[in-house]
Amino acid sequence: MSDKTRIENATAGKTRRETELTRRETGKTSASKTRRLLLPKEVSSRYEYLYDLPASGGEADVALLKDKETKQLLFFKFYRAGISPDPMAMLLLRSADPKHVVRLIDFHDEDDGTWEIQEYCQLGSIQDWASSQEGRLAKETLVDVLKEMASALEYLHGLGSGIAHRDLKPANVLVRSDDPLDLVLADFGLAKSQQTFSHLTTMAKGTWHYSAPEVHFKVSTPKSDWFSLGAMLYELYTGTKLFSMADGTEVSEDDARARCLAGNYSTTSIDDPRWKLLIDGLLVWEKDNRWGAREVGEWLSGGSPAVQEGKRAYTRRQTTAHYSPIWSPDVASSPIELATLLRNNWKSAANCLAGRPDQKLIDFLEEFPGCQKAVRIIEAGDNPEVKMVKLQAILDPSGPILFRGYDLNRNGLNDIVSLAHSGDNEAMAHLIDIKNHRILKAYSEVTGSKSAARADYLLDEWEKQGRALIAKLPQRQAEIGRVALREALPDMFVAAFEEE
Amino acid sequence: MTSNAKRVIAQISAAGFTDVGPSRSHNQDAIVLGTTIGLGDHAILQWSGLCEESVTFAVVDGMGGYDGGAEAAALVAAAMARYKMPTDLSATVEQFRNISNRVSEAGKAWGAPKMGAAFAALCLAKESLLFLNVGDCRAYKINGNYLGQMSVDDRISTETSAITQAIGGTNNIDPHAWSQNPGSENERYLLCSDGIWGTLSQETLLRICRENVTAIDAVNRIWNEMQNHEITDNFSALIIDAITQEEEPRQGEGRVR
Repeated sequence: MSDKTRIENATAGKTRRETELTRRETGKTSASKTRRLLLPKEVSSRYEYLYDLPASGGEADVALLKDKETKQLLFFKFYRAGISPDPMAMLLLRSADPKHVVRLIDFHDEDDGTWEIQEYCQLGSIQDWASSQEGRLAKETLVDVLKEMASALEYLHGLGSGIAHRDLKPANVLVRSDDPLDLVLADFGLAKSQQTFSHLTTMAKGTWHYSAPEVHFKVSTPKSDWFSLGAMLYELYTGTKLFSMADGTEVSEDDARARCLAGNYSTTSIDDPRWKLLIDGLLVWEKDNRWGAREVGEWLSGGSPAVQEGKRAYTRRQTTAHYSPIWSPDVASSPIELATLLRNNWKSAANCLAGRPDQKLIDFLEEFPGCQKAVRIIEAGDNPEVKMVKLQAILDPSGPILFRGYDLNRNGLNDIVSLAHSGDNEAMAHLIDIKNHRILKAYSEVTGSKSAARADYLLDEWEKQGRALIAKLPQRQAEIGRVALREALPDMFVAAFEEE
Repeated sequence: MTSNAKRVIAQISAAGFTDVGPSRSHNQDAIVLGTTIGLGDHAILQWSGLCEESVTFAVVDGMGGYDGGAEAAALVAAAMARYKMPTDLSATVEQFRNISNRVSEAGKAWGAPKMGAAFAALCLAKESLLFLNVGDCRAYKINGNYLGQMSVDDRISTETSAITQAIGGTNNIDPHAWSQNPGSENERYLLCSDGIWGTLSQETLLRICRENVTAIDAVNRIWNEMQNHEITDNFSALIIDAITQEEEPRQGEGRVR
């Protein structure tokens, strides 16, 4: 597409964007029809609720508010249970330069919940802005985007001892104004100060299309943000996501992750050699060789820093191995895809893993370095669901570890416990099987989770003690005792995870 | 448990039956529990003991389409009653080809050259289990909430009961053998002929096998459940309960892999 065409599209898109804004201002969106959020008292005393907004990630519910005094429109974000931003990062952001970062008006992180009040950018995100221009921006505009983003990242990474955003994507870059272009970073729910880095929440949506390879190995640093910027620029230049198929077809989140890990992405669609150089530099697989603020500055000044690809840490043999299990209509072409199939076809996969190992599955896994442990797990005589817990960790180290659709982390277990408390028999059955088959023990073995190991131990001990007491009772009372022990299971789970 | 402790089979409790069924005149099935063979129209056996050396359990189904099916089943059952866990798994091919040749030779001598039998067996030793089968008798492991099939069906397709190989009826048989270590929980196994698994659903078999009853009660419940269905063949089932425990290595033994 020529630059002239790009600019014409950008102008035409403006009218569409204004229409979109009008619709948004009057609240006539589908998001406004259902109210999800009840405002905390502290918030409702000062702000008027207008309507819910569509959440861009899975970590919080968001709404539009109006300051009762100033009439200013504000963005409200209420984090879901168990999720809260890094307090250190939020403290720094409160005093951050609003030139680069969305203004944080208020932040609350207590036992009764975690929420933020931010400035509201009426033009929406750069994703909204670009989509009104068929998803592509003119090069002149892209330069402005790059300058804004590079400046914002450089500032963010220099805050305190350094903050990494860790979830940079078009939806998290807000357009404060478009003439002149003023972009600000937003959605710091996953931001981390340099002291501690932990894995991205698995609930974040649209994340894997912009995540750097090292993120999948639970190592995300400020350098990961530069990769994300590269992925964003690629998309804003070409109109397609970086990890798309060759014909531009968008792929799933899991496929995006697999392609990223395999280094299966290219910038051949970028017809301008200067832009290709820039984006290649930002998308270097090896984070230590990746471009950062210095190289981008050099490029903006007309320079051509070298692009050093380096050796990829994750290697796999060139193979066209595929596995078509009898328990799923889908095909796996990588260990990660196999992990996804296991999660999505839990019962039928477990049924198969309960029996004699499938030689085709073993042959498939032997194509991939590092999967020998997975083969041993499949061949062992363990409970099939124990195998599936362990397999997920090996086949997809950065993915979630699920048990019958529930994450085995604290949030997922809390969900099951809550359901069991409310009388859900299926949830109770899950808890019984988690306890009986030592699922938490398996989980702790592959994740190193001390709390899971401790909880498994306690649950087992309490069960033995309970049964020993019941065994001394007359038959009728023993039956009552067994029922009571069963009914107490959700509370036992809660107690087993309580801090020492 | 120390890092060197291993899981071993301490005790075994088993029960099984074989039945001619209402539609057939002769029972061509047989069951094997240790060194004891169950034959005839109706037989029910129990076995229990410590697992100190190798012990074998098997269900055998003589090929009904040819003469000598019952005789072939008896010969195979006798061979399984003497069967011991091999030290080298690769020896199973030759072992069962030898058994097959003996059955075949006997058949030729008796005027039933094509006689043969399918079987499924579970051989247990203290530290390992070996699943064996030729034909379409099945071996299952009750694994958590699931019924895991440990045997491989030697059938042409799911539409027909014709089998692709049998002991005695086929040259150069390829026995299916799969070895596993004892799991981390007490374990229950089911061996059965196609008269059982072709009649009762997997869900029904799993439900019965998961009930907290002894092996003898469980096989009786399978027999009772069969009476609720149309029975067109001989039918045989065998349940084996393996009680496992952790064992520290004896002094002088190295770390168990």
